[in-house]
Amino acid sequence: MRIAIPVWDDKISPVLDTASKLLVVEMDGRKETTRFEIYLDERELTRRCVRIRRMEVNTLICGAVSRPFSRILTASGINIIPDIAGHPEAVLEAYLKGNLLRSGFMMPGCRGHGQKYGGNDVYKTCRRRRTQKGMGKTVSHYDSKERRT
Amino acid sequence: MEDQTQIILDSIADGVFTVDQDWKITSFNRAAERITGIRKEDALGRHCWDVFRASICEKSCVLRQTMETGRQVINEAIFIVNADGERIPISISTAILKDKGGNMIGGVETFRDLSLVEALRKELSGRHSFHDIISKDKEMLRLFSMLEQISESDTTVLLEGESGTGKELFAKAIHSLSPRGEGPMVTINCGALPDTLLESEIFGYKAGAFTDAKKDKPGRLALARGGTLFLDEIGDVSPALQVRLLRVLQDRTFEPLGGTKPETADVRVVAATNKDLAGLVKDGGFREDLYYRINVVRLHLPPLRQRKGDIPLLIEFFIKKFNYLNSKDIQGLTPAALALVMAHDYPGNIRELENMIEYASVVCKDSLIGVECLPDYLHDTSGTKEKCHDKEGRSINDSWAATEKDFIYKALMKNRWNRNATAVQLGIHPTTLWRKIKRLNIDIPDKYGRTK
Repeated sequence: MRIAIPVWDDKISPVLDTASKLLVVEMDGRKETTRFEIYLDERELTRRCVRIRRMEVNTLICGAVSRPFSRILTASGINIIPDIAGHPEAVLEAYLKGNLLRSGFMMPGCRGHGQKYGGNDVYKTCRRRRTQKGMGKTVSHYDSKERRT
Repeated sequence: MEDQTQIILDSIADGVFTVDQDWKITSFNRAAERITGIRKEDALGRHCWDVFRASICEKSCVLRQTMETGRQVINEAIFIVNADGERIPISISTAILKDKGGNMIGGVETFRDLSLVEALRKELSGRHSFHDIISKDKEMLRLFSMLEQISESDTTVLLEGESGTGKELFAKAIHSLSPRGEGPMVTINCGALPDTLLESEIFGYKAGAFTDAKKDKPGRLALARGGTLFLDEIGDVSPALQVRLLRVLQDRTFEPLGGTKPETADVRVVAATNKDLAGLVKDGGFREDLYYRINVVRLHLPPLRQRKGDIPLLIEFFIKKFNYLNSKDIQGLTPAALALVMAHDYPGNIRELENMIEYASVVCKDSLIGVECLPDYLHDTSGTKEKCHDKEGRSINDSWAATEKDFIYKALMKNRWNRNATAVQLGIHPTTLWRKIKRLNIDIPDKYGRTK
């Protein structure tokens, strides 16, 4: 399985649409077999997607990603875990341990665009962190529950 | 005092946030919450790139530039990805935050949502395009309005125009606007095929019609059933085939080769030519009766040299297209390159301009296409020097010099022979104007001319 993470210095690139470097890690079960970095020069989203797909990436852990790009990647069969921030190594470790979404790596205000990850609905997980106070949005089911308790 | 500042910040329509020297957000106003979709409580204390998610965060952060150089940035256009994954076009401005002692304590970034402006810009540019045909030329706009009326009926349309003027795009527009828009549009280039092949292509054949005709083959007329048949280069059709086409247009029936029963031609015919059909009729090269059959509605598409005002619009369109195809980020042409492109006569019309921009897009390494990125033939006017003459028999270059001389003379006269004012009016440097005056031997009255 190949996991890709867009990287910028020692952190995950904040925006996948404009990220310039991609770290690709090949895993055999939980053991890392190889890793390499590629440059993403493609500005146009379809070409960028083709480039990522050529790397035979199965899962892409990234920061913010626009909906159009997210749709293109998903349609290409790439599983995306968006709205993740932090140090790539720590993120990778948390992902392999299966507790990425519970380890405080989520970007502020993340919604995950409805992506599913390991049985957890990222959308729901992130919505739980958001209250809609003062932002003119509907209060989520999770928020109402939390306030009542 | 801090509360007052917050109230003021929250009342501003532009998003405002501040960061400390570790790039962590220290304040976040209400408009910033609205534009980014992120609550202030979630944003405070987080790194600005995780909250703001801008296209420039990684490579060219303007706030970093400001904090490093002390220079403000005003209204730089970028995009951010908001909490809902939408790309929001914004303009940003940055400045340094200092304490009372004048020491830098961080930076401030203000940003304005340009979504509405962008939507209006798209709306405006949409006014200059009609079903992929781009123009703001009066004559073309008249044709656009005619197209809508023409399309509603099943009338045969003849499109006349030089090669590369967009006849096929017009045919497509007529088809998609018509009630047959849901049906097929079948194109056949009559000039590209030998006569016998063209006949079987248009009408199709039945099995056994000739050797190797082992099974039925439907012609383009049958394939276009319920839709539009576009006959390109109709002026190249042989007299024999013209008779068969005449029957289709007159009786709405045709017979495939080797067929015995006539079939109904349920098609709308749009024909196009780059030849003078009326002239061909006079010379006997085209049947008069067919000419009048197809000449029900005739649209003459003006060549590009007659609508040069469209060149900048078309350039913008083609640059976008080739940026997309070639993964480039070209923004436009330098003024010198634009002048050269505008001065060309375009015998190949829009197709030639498209090829020119494609060439430049491949060759150009900068964000602006310079003169050096344009095809050589644009620079080399020597080949046309001898051929091109104006009505008075002067070569193009002489004629141009005379026009320029006259133009500058009038501008000087209008500005009471003040060369600085004239240069400003003409948009050129005074030295350039002085050189032109010398080169063109423009006489300036003694009392004004310092050179005399």
